[in-house]
Amino acid sequence: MLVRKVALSFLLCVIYTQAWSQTFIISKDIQLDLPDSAIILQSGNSVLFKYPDWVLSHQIIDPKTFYPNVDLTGLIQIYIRNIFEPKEGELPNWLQFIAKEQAKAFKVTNKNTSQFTLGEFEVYCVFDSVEKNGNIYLVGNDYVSHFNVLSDKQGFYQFLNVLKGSI
Amino acid sequence: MDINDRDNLKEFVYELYGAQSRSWAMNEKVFDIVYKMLNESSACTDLMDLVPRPHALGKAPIKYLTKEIRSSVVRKLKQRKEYYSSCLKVVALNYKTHIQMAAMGL
Repeated sequence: MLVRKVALSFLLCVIYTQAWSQTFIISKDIQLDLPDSAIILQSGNSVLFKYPDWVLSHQIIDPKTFYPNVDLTGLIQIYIRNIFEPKEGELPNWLQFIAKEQAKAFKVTNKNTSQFTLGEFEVYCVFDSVEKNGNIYLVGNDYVSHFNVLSDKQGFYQFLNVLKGSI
Repeated sequence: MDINDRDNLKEFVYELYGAQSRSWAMNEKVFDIVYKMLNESSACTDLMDLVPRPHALGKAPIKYLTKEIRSSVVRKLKQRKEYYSSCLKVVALNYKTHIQMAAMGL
């Protein structure tokens, strides 16, 4: 009787775990294995996963609404790159100025940023350890995908490793 | 916050984040986050001149600002929404997730 009860509990536990395992598909090649989240929130074009001690949000950037009253259609990829790696002459001066201001707001320095390639995407990341706020941009040919991670440094880099291993 | 303050704040937040903010509920937490953005942005200093100094450290702005000052801040945000959304745009990206959560009561 006891053995049967233990076996049943184990089976229920396995079923429960399988039912709640989460794979978050970003593109045909990128699939993230995320821990079970406490709350999943859909807000506009963003999906937000709220865990007890960290938050992850994801959205596909709309170049028309990235900033109020600035249409970045056709420029969004270059613009995001210029936040992290400014190159003279790639953007109009006024937009280059905004990219510089954005880099300041993200607190971009050589020490808290990284860049790598993930399949078809160039990935640009920055982590602000004071505000515990990380931003990850996946720059593709056709669109830009954005993750915002509200977490401590360890949690941010843990998520970055999940992202790197997702392909 | 009364209904006028909420409407004024909503109009400004809409200007800043666009159509996705339609489903966001305006509340005291959202006000506090917008206020934090204003405080952080070096480009919106004229609005912060309305607010008495020094700021009460560690206290939510909604708690230490009088109702008149709060109403005045959100009214000005609405009246000059293009200007203030423009000067807050780079800082706003850092707070979007915070505002989404606050607006959904999380």
